[in-house]
Amino acid sequence: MFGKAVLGFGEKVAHTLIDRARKGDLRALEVIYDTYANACFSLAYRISDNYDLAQDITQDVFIKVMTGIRNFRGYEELGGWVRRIVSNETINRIRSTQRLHLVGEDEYFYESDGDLFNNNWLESCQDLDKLLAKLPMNSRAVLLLHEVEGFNHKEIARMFDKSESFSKVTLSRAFAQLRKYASQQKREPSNAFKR
Amino acid sequence: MHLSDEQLLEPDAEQLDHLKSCEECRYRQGNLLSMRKSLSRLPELKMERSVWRNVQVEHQMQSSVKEVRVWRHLTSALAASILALVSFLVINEFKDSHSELDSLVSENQQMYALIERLRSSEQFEYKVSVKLSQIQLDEIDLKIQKAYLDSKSDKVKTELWKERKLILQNMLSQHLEKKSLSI
Repeated sequence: MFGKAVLGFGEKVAHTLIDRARKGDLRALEVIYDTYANACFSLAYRISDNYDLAQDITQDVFIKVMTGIRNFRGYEELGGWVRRIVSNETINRIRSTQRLHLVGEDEYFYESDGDLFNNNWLESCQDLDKLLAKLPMNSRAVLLLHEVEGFNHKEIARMFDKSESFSKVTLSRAFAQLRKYASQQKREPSNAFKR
Repeated sequence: MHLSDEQLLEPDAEQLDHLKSCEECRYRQGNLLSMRKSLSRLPELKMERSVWRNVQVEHQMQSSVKEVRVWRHLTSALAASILALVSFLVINEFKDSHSELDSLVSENQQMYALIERLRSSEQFEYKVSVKLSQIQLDEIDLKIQKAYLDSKSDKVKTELWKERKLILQNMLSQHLEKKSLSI
């Protein structure tokens, strides 16, 4: 299941290939699919924690890409454009299936203690994917969108149809939860020799 | 005053200025950037190849539906155009038939007025054939009146007026024949 070490939205596609894809060339569209499909699936799966749903989202994303590329202008931003589509699609799907617990307005007043980044507690973490899977879905989504995919609070708020405070609070809360799980993981004895 | 965790996560211009001068906040920011790096290094998950086939099939289906919609739209537009054209032709024909009828009525009136003038000047001979034509003229006038009372179609009325015109032409030609013979 594991492939390359980095998410591939940053990968570039030749301009001529994008031009061919715009004209409906299936071979060119397949190359674009091969370039970004794993990145889409990885993001959708890490947010949703659901294999079938992530596949379904990826499929829908590429149908949108195939249709929308005719009107897509700009060559350098292709990866960013696909990233935006998959992010929106994932949030919409998990919101529509009510998999996402959205923070209530009264919870917006959460503020961390100001010590979240006093040390790099993630450094000694054994399995980051396992740790992320423990987070509530909304925390995982905001954390990945902000910290890995580079969306800002304003953009995330728009995706969730919430205020920027929602994104800010959810993000710092996600870090706090991650730190808690990381310290638990550190304390747990290794399962390597357990039956 | 140091930056809060929330401020470190997405600092604005003023907070970025603070970072330049505050070693402690820079240290905390360094830890955050290291964590960010770890998160970005998460391995990419591999997608099943079969999904591409599904994407192609689904896309083709959607395109077909779109084509059918476009085709339906075009055929509707074509039907509307044909209807508009037919209506235009029918209206024109209606107009033409009306104008033909009008001109026939006018011609009939002019010819009849001429015959009346000839009659009043006693230039018009009442031969047997002319008298017969007058009977025909009376008959056709009755038919024309009835056609208007029964609201018959313009086509029927036109035919009747044509018939009347022929009778009048016949009456006039008989008169002209007699005139030329007398000269």
